[in-house]
Amino acid sequence: MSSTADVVVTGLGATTPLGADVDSTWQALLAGRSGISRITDDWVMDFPAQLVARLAADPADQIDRVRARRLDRSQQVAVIAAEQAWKESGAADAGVAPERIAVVFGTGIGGALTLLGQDDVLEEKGPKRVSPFTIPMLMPNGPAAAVGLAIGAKGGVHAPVSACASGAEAIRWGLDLLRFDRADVVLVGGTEACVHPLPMAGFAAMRAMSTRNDEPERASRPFDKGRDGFVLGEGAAALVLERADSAAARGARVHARLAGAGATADGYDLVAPHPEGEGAGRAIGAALRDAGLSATDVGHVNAHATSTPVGDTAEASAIRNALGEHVLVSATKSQTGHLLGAAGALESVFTILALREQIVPATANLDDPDDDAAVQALDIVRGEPRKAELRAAVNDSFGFGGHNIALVFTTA
Amino acid sequence: MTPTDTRDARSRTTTPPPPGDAVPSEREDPPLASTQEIQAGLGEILEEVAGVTPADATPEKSFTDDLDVDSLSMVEIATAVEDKFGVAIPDDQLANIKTVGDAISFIESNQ
Repeated sequence: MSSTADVVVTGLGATTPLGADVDSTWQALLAGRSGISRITDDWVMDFPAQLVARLAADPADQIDRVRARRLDRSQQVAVIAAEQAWKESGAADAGVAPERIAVVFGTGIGGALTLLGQDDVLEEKGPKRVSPFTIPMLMPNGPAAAVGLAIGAKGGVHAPVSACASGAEAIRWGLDLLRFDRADVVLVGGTEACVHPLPMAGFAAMRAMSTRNDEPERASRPFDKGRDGFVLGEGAAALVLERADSAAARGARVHARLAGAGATADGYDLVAPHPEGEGAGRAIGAALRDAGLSATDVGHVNAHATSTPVGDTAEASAIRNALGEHVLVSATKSQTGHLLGAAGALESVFTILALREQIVPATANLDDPDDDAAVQALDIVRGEPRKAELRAAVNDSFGFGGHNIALVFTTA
Repeated sequence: MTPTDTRDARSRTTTPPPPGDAVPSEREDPPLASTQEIQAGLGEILEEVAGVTPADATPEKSFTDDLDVDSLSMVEIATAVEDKFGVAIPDDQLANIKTVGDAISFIESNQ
């Protein structure tokens, strides 16, 4: 065992607003398609923000009915993504003892649909009609627990909760578990499915959501002058991590290496990011040191960039300060919307695929970059995806609460 | 939008029925069901709640050992039994119901 053991990614899974799996999501991303649409239900009529990035595939079509009725939607999509990644990795056939398989799966909000739906049952029909599955469906460790059961993990099941950094934080925890030999295989990821009037109203009350209701596909526009907030998305993404030596020994396909991770807190405000992205920049720096790389090694950043006015410029400063102006930046939330607790996991999948395929996705809707000096200085890919020779790439993820996670991936 | 969402949306906008209408009047005094009707009704509940094939829901089957019904699903089954047959199963009685046959007997003697 070594605290600097090489850790590799041997499986990927996702169900997203762009596709029912990793391949369809990636192809839709490169094709510039948007997963964002306008809600048409009656309840949305007096809502200022009416846009959403719905799953491309209904989980009911991907999961058994009886199984699904005991799982919150956030658990359903977590299990779907996790089983895809697990199957692809081939780890199930590798003879790994269940006691050496761990799960780290994060969520930002948890089982909000169950909580709010059962509150309706309580109010309308009384306490005896509340489902006995209410608590296991709403608890924030519910997705991790459901994934653990699905793959038979007995080596520990963990659930980081750090708002929109949860998915990335899960990946960092997975890296640590492998480095410290707590497990031989770790399935990591993030999930979110909370499209419901209450979270929509809460985020809108924070003035965090885009109100560009008449132009759904143009609403999420990170780094653009006209950006006015994020678009709520739903979905999940999962990765299988293991140490490089054991992956090589069983002949596993390696997508990329997880070379390092950095975690910091802003210590500035509960929700507002530090204006110059001080904590975010420190996370990137810490991840680079952890990976033993320098800024010039990094060719690409998948930015957190949610399309909020303050967040994007703070991150641009952080990237410029920590890495320089040579990196090719992508803000994929321009097409997927913001998957909250799943964002860090999904964007890590994109970062890995960019390295594997040597192509950087474009940032949609970046018609008129912000006047901010850092935004102007950065090479933010737009228009078409750009081919590039990439050796290392960074995924940023930040969460309300001042949580900052940076992950460094390198080519296999 | 998915069914989940529209259901959530409706539950927000639909006025709940007044308490007096919540239970259909025929449920207050249901006709007595035969053993066969109870077994068939229980089979439907088991299929809905736990995915049990109705033909497998025979009297000798153990809920936990044979039909893979866990304790939380038993609570759901008890609620569904009350809806379907108008028979409430108290918690201390629920613990004694081990087989499909136990459930049929309980419903038969308490309806």
